[in-house]
Amino acid sequence: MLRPRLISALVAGGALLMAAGIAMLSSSVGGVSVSLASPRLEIEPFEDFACLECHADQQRLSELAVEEEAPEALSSGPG
Amino acid sequence: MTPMEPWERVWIDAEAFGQDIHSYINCTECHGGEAVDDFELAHEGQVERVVNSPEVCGRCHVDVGPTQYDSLHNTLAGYDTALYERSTPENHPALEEMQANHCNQCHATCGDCHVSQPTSVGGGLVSGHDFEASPSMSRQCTACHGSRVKNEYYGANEGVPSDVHFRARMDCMECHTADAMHGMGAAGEQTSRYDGAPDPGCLDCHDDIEMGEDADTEIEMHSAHDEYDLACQVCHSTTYTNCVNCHVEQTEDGVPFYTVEDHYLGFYIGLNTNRSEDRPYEYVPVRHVPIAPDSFSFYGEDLLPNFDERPTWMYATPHNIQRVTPQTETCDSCHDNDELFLTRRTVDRAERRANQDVLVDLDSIP
Ligand code: HEC
Ligand code: HEC
Ligand code: HEC
Ligand code: HEC
Ligand code: HEC
Ligand code: HEC
Ligand code: HEC
Ligand code: HEC
Repeated sequence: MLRPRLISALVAGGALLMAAGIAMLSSSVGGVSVSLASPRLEIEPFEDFACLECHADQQRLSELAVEEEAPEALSSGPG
Repeated sequence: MTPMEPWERVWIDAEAFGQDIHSYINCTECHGGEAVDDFELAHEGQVERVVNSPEVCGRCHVDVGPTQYDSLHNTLAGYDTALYERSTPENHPALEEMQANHCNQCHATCGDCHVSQPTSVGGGLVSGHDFEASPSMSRQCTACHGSRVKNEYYGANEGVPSDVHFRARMDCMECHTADAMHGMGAAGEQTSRYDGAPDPGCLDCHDDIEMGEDADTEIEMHSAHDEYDLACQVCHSTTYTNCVNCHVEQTEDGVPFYTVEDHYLGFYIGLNTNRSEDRPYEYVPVRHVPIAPDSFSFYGEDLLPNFDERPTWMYATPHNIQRVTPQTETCDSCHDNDELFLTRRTVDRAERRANQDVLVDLDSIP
């Protein structure tokens, strides 16, 4: 999946140097380097699919995510 | 603010986030934990909040990172100032323990303004983990600045209209810019929200307003006073919240909580104790802040021995600006009106010493 809006904006701004064939949600991933005001930074290729897949899955999240006890609810009054 | 379902708080909108540069970065680099398909294992070693540190956001955002780190939103130095001025060094450890229990969720991280709702309202992704350049007024800013700023700005206090800027559909960001929120251009280390020149100043936008006898204006109240005599809010702000007696404690299970005993609406003009070239006004609205000598007695005895070193009626800039207020009705709304000024009569006897520099002498009401 290409990201035309983002990529063209970044390339125009000189912010992002693209390595070929990057697509996070597909299976082949490369590295990205970003140069902002700092020296160039290497970003490791994206590998954390296990996290992403679960957190994008409403069904699984509904089963796993439970309301936490919120101790702050005890506090009252304007702060 | 509509409450979020538990799943919704942690649900990533893969499509929206997929358009975001940060989706190139591994989750674990920011959150810790481990990328495995097992709920328990995946979250082991996860950081509670993604913090602004040179290793995380500051690594790429080299301009924003360091200054935001020194800003009041991150350091909460304003609270230190308010506590330590009233205390002595030997009490600092007890006060620090108190702050660690009660103030931690007030620190604003980058994520509190750009990714999630703050912890104080239970967190939750604001737009499916997309990093938004512009924070959400209602889900981020006022989630923390709820009871005073929000109620005043939105007009939620009974009988008090919303701020004229709210009615003009302005959000927080039109006045509180990225640079200010990131602590840029702050003159040295900030110790209080009113350090330096007003930011924003009313005249930054209303540059056509002139005051003083030479002013080119039809408005008599503008020409009768100089800009440096009265803060604009003395006329253009109205009734706001005043708080009394904050107490912090823990439940039997050790859960910290605080209560503010009481609050009431009022409007009081006092003397400006912050007077400087940047803030020359002699008269400003003042607000009662929720502190008492025994506010923190749960953590030790007499932790605020210098209680009288700092007023309990503080310089205020309420967010309920109006063109017409009770003060602007006639000259006599203020002149010779004891009720409107903070005098010995308004202030609790026990707090008079602390407020001696704020009190307007009954004989010198203008
Ligand atoms: C560039 C750093 C960064 C990356 C990469 C990142 N996140 Fe986040 N994430 C944040 C920040 C910042 C927040 C806001 C909350 C905070 O400050 O902890 C957040 C919030 C969240 C939340 C909501 C927490 C709450 O209660 O509000 C979840 C769930 C989450 N991230 C999961 C992920 C997953 C899964 C990935 C990988 C697909 C990921 N994040 C990638 C920085 C990141
Ligand atoms: C690997 C580098 C990198 C890291 C780490 C990183 N960012 Fe970014 N961020 C970028 C780039 C590149 C852009 C897009 C260019 C720009 O607008 O400056 C960006 C843009 C943003 C934007 C503007 C988004 C928009 O829609 O315009 C925000 C807000 C932001 N980042 C916040 C954060 C926060 C908060 C963190 C830490 C949790 C973080 N970033 C970590 C590289 C990074
Ligand atoms: C996580 C809670 C939190 C969030 C979110 C938050 N704030 Fe704050 N803000 C605070 C606290 C706490 C202080 C007081 C810091 C001090 O005095 O030490 C503060 C101080 C301020 C100040 C005065 C100090 C300064 O830096 O100028 C302004 C203005 C402000 N906030 C505006 C905003 C706006 C606008 C937003 C949304 C973009 C926002 N805040 C989001 C907690 C928060
Ligand atoms: C108290 C809230 C607050 C905090 C904390 C905060 N920001 Fe911002 N940020 C803002 C506001 C307000 C804007 C400007 C939004 C607008 O103009 O609509 C902004 C804008 C940005 C932008 C867009 C480019 C720009 O400068 O206008 C980036 C990138 C950014 N912030 C990164 C960060 C990073 C990284 C951190 C942590 C180091 C951080 N912010 C912490 C409030 C905050
Ligand atoms: C029309 C401009 C304007 C808008 C809109 C605005 N503010 Fe302010 N704000 C001010 C001014 C003026 C000050 C006082 C600045 C000074 O004296 O340095 C201030 C000060 C603050 C302070 C510090 C003083 C205090 O009372 O604690 C906070 C916090 C704050 N604003 C939050 C917000 C939030 C949250 C929003 C959005 C709901 C918002 N403001 C919208 C003008 C504005
Ligand atoms: C970021 C710019 C900005 C700042 C800062 C700002 N204002 Fe405004 N103000 C506006 C705009 C825009 C309007 C609505 C348009 C108009 O009517 O002029 C407005 C409207 C008003 C009005 C109503 C005007 C009318 O004709 O009905 C008053 C009174 C006012 N502001 C006073 C103040 C005061 C007092 C402050 C400082 C606490 C302040 N403003 C700060 C931009 C600003
Ligand atoms: C002594 C009271 C007083 C003070 C102080 C004061 N104003 Fe006013 N202001 C008024 C009155 C009265 C009006 C006219 C209200 C009406 O329309 O009936 C007015 C009207 C306004 C208006 C709308 C009319 C216009 O010409 O656009 C703005 C904006 C304004 N004031 C801004 C300010 C600013 C900014 C300051 C601080 C520099 C300030 N005022 C200080 C009393 C005051
Ligand atoms: C919101 C309250 C308020 C209103 C309304 C108000 N004044 Fe004042 N006025 C003051 C205060 C406070 C002072 C004292 C200022 C000082 O000494 O610095 C003052 C001082 C003065 C002074 C002394 C001049 C000076 O600079 O010391 C004159 C003259 C004056 N006012 C005239 C008027 C007139 C005429 C009106 C009606 C058109 C009016 N005032 C409305 C609060 C007000």
